[in-house]
Amino acid sequence: MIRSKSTRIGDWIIAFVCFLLILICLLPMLNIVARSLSSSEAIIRNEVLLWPKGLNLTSYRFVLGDSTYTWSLIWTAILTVICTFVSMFMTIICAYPLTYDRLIGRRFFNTLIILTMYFNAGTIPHYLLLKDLGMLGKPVALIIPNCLSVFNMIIMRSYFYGIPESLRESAEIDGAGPIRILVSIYLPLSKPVIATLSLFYAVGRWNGFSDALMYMGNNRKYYPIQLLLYNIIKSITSIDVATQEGFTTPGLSDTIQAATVVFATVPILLVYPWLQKYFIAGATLGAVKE
Amino acid sequence: MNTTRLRLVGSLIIVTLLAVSSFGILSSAADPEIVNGRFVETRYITVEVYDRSNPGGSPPEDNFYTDFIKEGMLRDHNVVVEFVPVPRWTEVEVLNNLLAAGDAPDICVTYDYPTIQTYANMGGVLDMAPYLEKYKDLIPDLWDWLGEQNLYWNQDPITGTVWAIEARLAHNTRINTFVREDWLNKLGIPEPTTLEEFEQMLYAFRDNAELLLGKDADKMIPYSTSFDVGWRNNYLLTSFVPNDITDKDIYVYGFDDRHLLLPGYKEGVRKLNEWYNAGLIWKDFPLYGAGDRTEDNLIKAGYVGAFQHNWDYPYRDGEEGIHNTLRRMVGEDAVFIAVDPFQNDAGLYRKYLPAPIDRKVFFPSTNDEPLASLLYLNWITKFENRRFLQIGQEGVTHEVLEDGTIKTIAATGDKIMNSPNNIDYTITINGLELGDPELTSRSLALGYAGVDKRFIEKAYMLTNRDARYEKNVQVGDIVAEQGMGPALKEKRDTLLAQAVVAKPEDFDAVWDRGFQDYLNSGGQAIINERRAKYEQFYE
Repeated sequence: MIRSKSTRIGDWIIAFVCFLLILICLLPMLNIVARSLSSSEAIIRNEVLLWPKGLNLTSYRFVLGDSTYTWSLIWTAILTVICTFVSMFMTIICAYPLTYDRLIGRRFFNTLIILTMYFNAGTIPHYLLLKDLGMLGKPVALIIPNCLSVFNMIIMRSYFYGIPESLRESAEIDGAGPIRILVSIYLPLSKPVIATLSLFYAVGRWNGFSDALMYMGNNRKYYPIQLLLYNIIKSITSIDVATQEGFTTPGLSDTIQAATVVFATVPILLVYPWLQKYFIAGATLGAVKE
Repeated sequence: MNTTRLRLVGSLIIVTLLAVSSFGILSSAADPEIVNGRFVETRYITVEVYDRSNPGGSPPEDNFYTDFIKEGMLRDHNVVVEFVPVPRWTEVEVLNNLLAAGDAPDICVTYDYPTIQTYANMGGVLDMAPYLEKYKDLIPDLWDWLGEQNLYWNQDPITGTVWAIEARLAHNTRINTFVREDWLNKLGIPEPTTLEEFEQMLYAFRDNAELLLGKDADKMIPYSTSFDVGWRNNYLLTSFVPNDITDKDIYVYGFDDRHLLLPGYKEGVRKLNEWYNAGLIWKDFPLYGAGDRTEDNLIKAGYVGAFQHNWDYPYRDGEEGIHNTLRRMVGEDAVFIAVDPFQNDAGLYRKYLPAPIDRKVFFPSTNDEPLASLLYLNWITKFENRRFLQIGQEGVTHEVLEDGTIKTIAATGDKIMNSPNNIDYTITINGLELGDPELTSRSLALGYAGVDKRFIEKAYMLTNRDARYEKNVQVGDIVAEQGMGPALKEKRDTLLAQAVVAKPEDFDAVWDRGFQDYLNSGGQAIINERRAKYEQFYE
């Protein structure tokens, strides 16, 4: 391929901008990792930037030695896996029928589903609903309410639209029913979008904590790791609470805080490399309908 | 249906009603609900408790101290108590959910009076006034401790309703000014007793950085503050308020708890601006938000000469705190000491402190055990119960010294206190109180691990010297204040930070623009309504 000089300069500029963006994302993470491995004296003297100083592992020993954190991490992992499966199942069985032209009331269902993207009852009605359903304080309250994202469902639906109808018709001629067509034709062809949406769901669940905060009450066993983190951070940032009460909660030292953040971030980061090959295809999926 | 049958049905209903009601009267006459303070039939109540989720803490609804309360309430009053934890950091949101769902505990506690008012307006809160009066004889400890003032603090001037009672603040402490004692000694400067002396001291710190910090001279910060300028310089700023300010003006301009609206405040900020431009103030102070530890670390590393903060700030947190870290990292004599140099125009070291009120305790309208709930409040307020909750078990959470002074010991395991002095269980008191003020302050001074008591005693003495306490003004609800808190707070912090860092010649313009914006955004409406209400009820 022949490339003009200006294109090459353009490539360099783009690469440079990308490099800067990567740095913006990467440096704070390196800083946190470095802090988690440093001595508290070095942090107080503000000597830690990207490389640990006064290397020690005490903070990790503390975090790993506290069964609350380790259990919470395991529980969050279990929860994330369950939620991802449930969500994908719901998304697929919702999106698939909507691709059938002969579905009676398709427009009505579409409108009904899309309406929920614009209207939200708010926190208190949600709470009341879960209370009436008897879900408060139970892990199911962390799974069911957010199991279907309409946005993700629309992406899924658009992707299904993109699969040539002739494939479906030929399967029908061979005698396959709708479920057989879904399992044997649509799903194998939809791997990229499934991978992408699974990741969306998984990251959402991994990072989510507000539902647990509102619905889990004192059932601390089921607090996800992010809620524990939230409490740690909140307890030292609530300056108004400190002025109201006349004392501050000492909270955790800088190094332990950093270790906790690393502890809660690494597992979800490990998922990315496995799914990466689907990403480039996945991110623009459903953007264009052919 | 013919008329005879109608009559028959009607009379049957009447007879039944009569029978039921007379039975009710008879049974209540023959069967008093309470004998010797104990209910004849067991009652059940639920009580809110803050959940601070502290690392290493115990479950706030089930531990050594809740057992103590539960056993005591069952023994003394035949009341079964269950605790409902509410996350401390999101208490308002969670309490809102619970109240809306009708699930709120029988005894609720919050710092946020507007939440109570909102639900009271919708009929969701019980009026405590009739019960306080009716059961006065059964709750003597509550009446003794809180008194008419705190019990009726929130009484509506027209309807007489009391939606919430106010807990008592045992020690009215706010902030203090701290300076490095060893730096004063090194430079041969006495402790500053006036603004001029304090200012000269800051200049001396700046000009002697080499001597004080050696190779780290470029890190010298004579005076540090934070983005929360109003809190962190409060005693300096309010020393510019004229001494003859009336109670009315304190109330009318008193919406902001940092005192932004009080007359004279601007001149205080101008002083900070002058210091900032002279290089006396930490230049990066507005960059770091709440909870950031950069400033604390600068103080701990020994680069900071003076600052204002919560009255005992440098002495908290034991080995990890400023006092002990500084001594470890810099040297034995590197300590902060409280000073009180800011006089007002009458030569008084005036501080404007809030009234001795604290949390607000209320009963939602779903509470059908008001008496049992009041007995609960009375029980935890009773001196020996309160004392046990505050200091715990001898030998475990405290030891008694020869002169009777109580020295607290940090406990772990089941007997750990999730909040200092178990403030979360003693919801009618905030702060250690041992019955005798002398004993209390001596014990208070021993409550800081690794800190000599002379520091605490001095800080405690200075934090409310010449204080003027807020008066209770009962004018009912101020509509203009509703929901304005967070937005105005944000505007205040921005205005103050911008004014401090402005160029001296721009100071007036920056201040006037920001202040006008504050007033236009709701500040003026609050002032107007407060003034009108005050004149309506007090003039």
